[in-house]
Amino acid sequence: MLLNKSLMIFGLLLLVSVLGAFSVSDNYYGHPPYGQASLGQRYGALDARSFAMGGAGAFGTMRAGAIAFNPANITVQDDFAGLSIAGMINRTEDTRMLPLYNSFDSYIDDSVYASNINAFSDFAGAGYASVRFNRMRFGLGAYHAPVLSFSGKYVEEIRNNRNTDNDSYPEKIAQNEIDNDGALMKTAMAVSLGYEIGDYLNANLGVDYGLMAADVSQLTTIRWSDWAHQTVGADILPDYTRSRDWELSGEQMKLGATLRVGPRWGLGLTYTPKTTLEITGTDMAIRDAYPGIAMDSTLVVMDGDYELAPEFRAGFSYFPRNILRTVFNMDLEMVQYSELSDIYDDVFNVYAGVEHHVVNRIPLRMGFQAVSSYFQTKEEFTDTTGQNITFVSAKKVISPMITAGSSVQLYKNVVLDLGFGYSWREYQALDLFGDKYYDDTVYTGAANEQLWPNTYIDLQNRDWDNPDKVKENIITLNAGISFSW
Amino acid sequence: MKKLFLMFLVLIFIGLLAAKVDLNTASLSELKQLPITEAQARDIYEYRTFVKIFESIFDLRQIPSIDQRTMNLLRPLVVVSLYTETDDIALRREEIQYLIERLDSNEGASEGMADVWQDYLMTPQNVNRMHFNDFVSLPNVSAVDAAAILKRVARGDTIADTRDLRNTLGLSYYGYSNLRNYVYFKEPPVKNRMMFDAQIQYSTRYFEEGQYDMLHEPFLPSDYGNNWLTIPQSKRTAYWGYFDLDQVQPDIAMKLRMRYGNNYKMGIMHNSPKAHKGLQYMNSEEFLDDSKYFAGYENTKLPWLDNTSLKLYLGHYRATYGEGLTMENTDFYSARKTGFGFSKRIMGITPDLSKTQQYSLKGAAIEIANPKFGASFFVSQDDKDGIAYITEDGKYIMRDEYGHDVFTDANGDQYFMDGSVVRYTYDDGSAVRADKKKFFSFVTPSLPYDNDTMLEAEAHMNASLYPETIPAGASYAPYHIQYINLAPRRDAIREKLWGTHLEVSPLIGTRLGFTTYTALYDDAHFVVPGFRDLLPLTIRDSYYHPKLQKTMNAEISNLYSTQTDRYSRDYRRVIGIDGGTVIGNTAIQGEYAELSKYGEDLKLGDDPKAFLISSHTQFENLYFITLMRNYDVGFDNPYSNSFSEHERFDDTILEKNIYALTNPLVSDIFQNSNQSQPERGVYFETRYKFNNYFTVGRSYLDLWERLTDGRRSARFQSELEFRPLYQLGMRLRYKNQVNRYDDTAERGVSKTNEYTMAIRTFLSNRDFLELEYRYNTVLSPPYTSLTNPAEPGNNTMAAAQTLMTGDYIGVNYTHNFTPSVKLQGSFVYWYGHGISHWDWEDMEIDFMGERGAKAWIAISSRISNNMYMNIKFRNKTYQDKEIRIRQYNDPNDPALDGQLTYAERVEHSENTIRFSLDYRF
Repeated sequence: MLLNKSLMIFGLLLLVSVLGAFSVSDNYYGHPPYGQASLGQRYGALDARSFAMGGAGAFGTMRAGAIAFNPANITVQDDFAGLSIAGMINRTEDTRMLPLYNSFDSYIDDSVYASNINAFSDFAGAGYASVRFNRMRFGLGAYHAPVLSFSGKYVEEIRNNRNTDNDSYPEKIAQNEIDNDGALMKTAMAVSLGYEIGDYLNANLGVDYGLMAADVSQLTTIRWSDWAHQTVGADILPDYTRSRDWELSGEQMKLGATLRVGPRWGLGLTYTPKTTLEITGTDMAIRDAYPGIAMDSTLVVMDGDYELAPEFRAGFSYFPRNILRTVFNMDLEMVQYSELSDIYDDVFNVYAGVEHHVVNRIPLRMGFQAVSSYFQTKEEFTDTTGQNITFVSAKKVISPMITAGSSVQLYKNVVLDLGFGYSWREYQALDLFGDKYYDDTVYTGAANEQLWPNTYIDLQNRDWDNPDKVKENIITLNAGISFSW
Repeated sequence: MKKLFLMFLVLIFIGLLAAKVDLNTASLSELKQLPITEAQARDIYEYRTFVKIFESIFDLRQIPSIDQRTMNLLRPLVVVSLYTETDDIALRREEIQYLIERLDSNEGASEGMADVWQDYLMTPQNVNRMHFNDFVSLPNVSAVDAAAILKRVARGDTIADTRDLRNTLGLSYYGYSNLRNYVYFKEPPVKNRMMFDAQIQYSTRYFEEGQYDMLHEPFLPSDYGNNWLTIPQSKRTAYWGYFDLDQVQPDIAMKLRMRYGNNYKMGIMHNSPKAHKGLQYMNSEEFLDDSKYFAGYENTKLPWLDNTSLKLYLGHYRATYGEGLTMENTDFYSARKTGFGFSKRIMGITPDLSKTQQYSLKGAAIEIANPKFGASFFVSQDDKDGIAYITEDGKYIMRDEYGHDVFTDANGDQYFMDGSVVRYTYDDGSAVRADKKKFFSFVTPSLPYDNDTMLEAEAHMNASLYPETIPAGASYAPYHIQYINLAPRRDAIREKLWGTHLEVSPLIGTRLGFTTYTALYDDAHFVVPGFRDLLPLTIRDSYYHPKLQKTMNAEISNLYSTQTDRYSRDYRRVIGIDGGTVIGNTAIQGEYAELSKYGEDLKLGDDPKAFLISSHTQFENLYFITLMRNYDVGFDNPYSNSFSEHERFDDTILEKNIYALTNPLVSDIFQNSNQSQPERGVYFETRYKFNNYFTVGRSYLDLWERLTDGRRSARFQSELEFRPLYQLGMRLRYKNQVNRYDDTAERGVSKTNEYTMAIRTFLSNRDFLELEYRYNTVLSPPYTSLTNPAEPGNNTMAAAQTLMTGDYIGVNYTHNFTPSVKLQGSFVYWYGHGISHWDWEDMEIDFMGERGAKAWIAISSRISNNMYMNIKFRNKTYQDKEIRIRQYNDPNDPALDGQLTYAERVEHSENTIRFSLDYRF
């Protein structure tokens, strides 16, 4: 018997394939030196049941995926061994707006200039097994899951809207693209030890230790259109390419504790200390030559630390008496960003969700979460003594999310969980591609623009006086299959 | 012998029974002793623990792992004892659950009153010991109902039960059906014990349209007479851009209430609204400053005074008397608050954990009441927000006790100007001393940032008012006022307030009351210029002064000053007399209040006054309300909350001309106004239920005059409900409002018609489906923004009138999956050209302008008997205004002459979410 369980432990199947994730904005999670590496987009719960319950799961007894939340969840699982695989599809809509001024030059609203919709997918897996010795329960597990995504896609066309009121065709002048791919993965082993004090009364301690690695490629391009080249002349307008290829590597540890306090309550607590990863890679930027100016090529070798903030997470599960069998989970998480730098404050994230078994034990799950993240921003100006100053600051962005889901029992020990989430965020950010680049007089040396035959156009890079308003809508579908024995 | 034998059998039976395992009380280990698997024993235990108590042995078949054979096996070995819920609180909660949900759904409108009513639902009052004010403070219980019960009790009769209550002569059916849940007769349904109620609510919201416009107004240099000037286009010249108000910022409210029966009560509430710096950035002192809390003691059985009750509260409390003219403290305005039906006031002192921050009372209050006499005394000390006069560097303008503006010279010495003479000393030789900050008004700020944050923003805005570079040879002609001279300051006015209410009731239902309060401002003077001097203070560019001289501004210039040419004081005092009586089935009540200003405090008629008198006549299926009110323009009492059609400052420059103000945030005086507009008028309301099929729903006619400019208006609304079947109801509603009906040649005339048709189906299980259609028209004189072609220059055609039309179609659906899970949803599409619609959602009202679509869904989950969760999500997509995108983006381009310009609309998509959790134990 013991042998079988041991086999299960080592027979874990962990499949992960990350194609990308969801934001081109530099949504912050880690803390790289500014400009050296992109900031990652943090993943939510990949366990479909927890996901549908708002992402709350510091204390979780029903799915193998719960061990990625808290290693001490292994020895509170209802079953002695389990395995789960989850897949997630994201539909992201990134809309960027520029400020709009009325005839009195008052800022009145924002006008959409680029909207991108993309879809991405991710997978994760987890498994565990446990054995009981009298009042002691010992569990071992492993999981493999994405932690941060650096992926994102973005396309923006540059056109002149002159005379479009009169049905003139706005010629395409250039096209900007961002194509990023990569994720920080964590592959961890977890161990948990539980002590049963009585029925529905036990205490558990767990720890996980994982290797983290990311292989990221990020490409940013500006390409002039054929029309632009034909209008201005060949070999005048310079294309731009920035290519970053870098890797992250390091280890992370997480400590966890769970306590079952009678049949009604379960408590969970985790602590993830500050994690320092190593960045290695290259950052190559090339701007083609144009008349009188040689090609500009810059290569930066990336070598430094990438830090992840410490996290405290405390949560509970409440098991009331309800004619629809019910579980209510709620977690509060503190992410200590201030441990990384003074530019951040600590943030508190809330996760809550409920599961009602409506008919024939089919659950209806719904939940809510509010997660804060940061992105870094840079302002450059000259001080009174003429010194150039670069000022890096952090902007906090709140992403609320509503979730819902259900599950179907496919076989005696096999359950398919489905989760749905809708999240959005709104914030100000700098224009991803400054308008000054498209001023052809810079390259032709002429007094007047040929691409912009409009004396009223004033192509300038917009700064924080005129930032973009960004709105992102993120729809997530999450599906997971869990096996238990 | 036979008896002995029977007894023996009974004993054997009991013994056998005792040997069996009771499914409702057995421990898990006892269940494991049964001849079933351990997993099955655990399933039985978990069914009992997590699903329901066993009612019969056949419930075992509800457990998937227990088949018929297993049940047959268990049947002789187990019993199911009669198990009843012993927790009287849980039982009571179950009984009144639907009423609590109804109160919760109205919490947004009732400003904390739901808490008080919920407490009385859980722990009712003894109907035989209640006083007049106790009755009339309950929803839909009238003064006539109260008098009917009190007269019966006074005759020595004791009301024994609900049926007995129903037989009370003079008590209406509506009064009875609402009252019965709030009272008990012999024994209270729950015993006294500690009860807790913890709530948390997280919600995101967008600023309302008026606030949105206010926060978008920029601070720009004057280009008037400065043709060389290029106006910078910078989002950060408006508060919206400066504070990045695009971002999602939640309102987070937390509340914890504790009480022991109805005797000892405590509570604390913290509300962190949008644009507040947030909980995690506050230290404990700041948290407490922004919180509301109270501890209170109530006793309706004083040992030394018969039939006398006592209330004693420390911390935050509400005080409400009469018709709310003298004292009813709230930050929120509600139109047409009659004080009858569900539009109620809770009289006297009540604990306050509402979201009111500005006009909250913090201190101590005591109330003693018996059937003949009532008295309450209250004191409060709290720091209030105000619009302050400030210098160019954001400092307060200070005043001395004699009302002089005091300045500081380069040496740091203080002086005032006596005409053109600089005075460093007073006549008695003492040095000039300034210890009062100069304020314009109280305000409830839309941006609750702390003062340091606002100071930084103001410095940025002041800098924005100047061109960055002035070309050589050019000069700059700035505005009349070149910097922010009025700005909101938080917790800047220390207000010490004391007041009292005395009431005598010689006859049942007849009472006469006296209310007064005095608010002392230790460190502030309120100084409001007269009508002529108002514009130079509030309008940045003197170019607008002649254009904006409107009579409505008298509402602003009549804000209360503590320092004028005619008097000098450091307090505000309001005195009121209220009273009422019940004659047959009619109750008459009223209140007269005066704000001490020019006259003597106790002499009536020599100061700005306000009065209201109303009558309520009720029959079994019919009632009439007649109400007359008259509020002087100078009656500026921030603690009043009386009946009116509009809030104060509507149509003034604070509403209509935000762009011209020296600081757009001064508009907050209007945006968050809590007072009634000065008006006089007569209001008549009725409702008549003909029979089970036809009801004339709440219908009213209001004829009133706005006293500031003499505008007369009439508003009529009536609705007819037809319910041919219990499951089906139809409702037709018509609303008509005419402004300036007496002078159709006047600019402000407008005629509004609104027609609504709704069909409702009442499905089983309290499910509900409703379809509503509304059509509106507004006729008014021509407005260029509505009738002009989109062409620059002057009118090119004649226009007699503007007709604005709008319509609205909506579907509401409520589905109760089970008593534990309820889903509500709605879809609305509306069109309005210059008019706005409103929609009552599950717990809040929403206003919609122009055209758009909206959908919301709310799921209420009753997690257990004492825990409730509610999640609501709403998407609202609308086009909100016309903006002119001019060709080449240059409005001054001469090439535009004679060319087409284009009007476009801006589309908004708003997502809002609300998550609330309520735990009562």
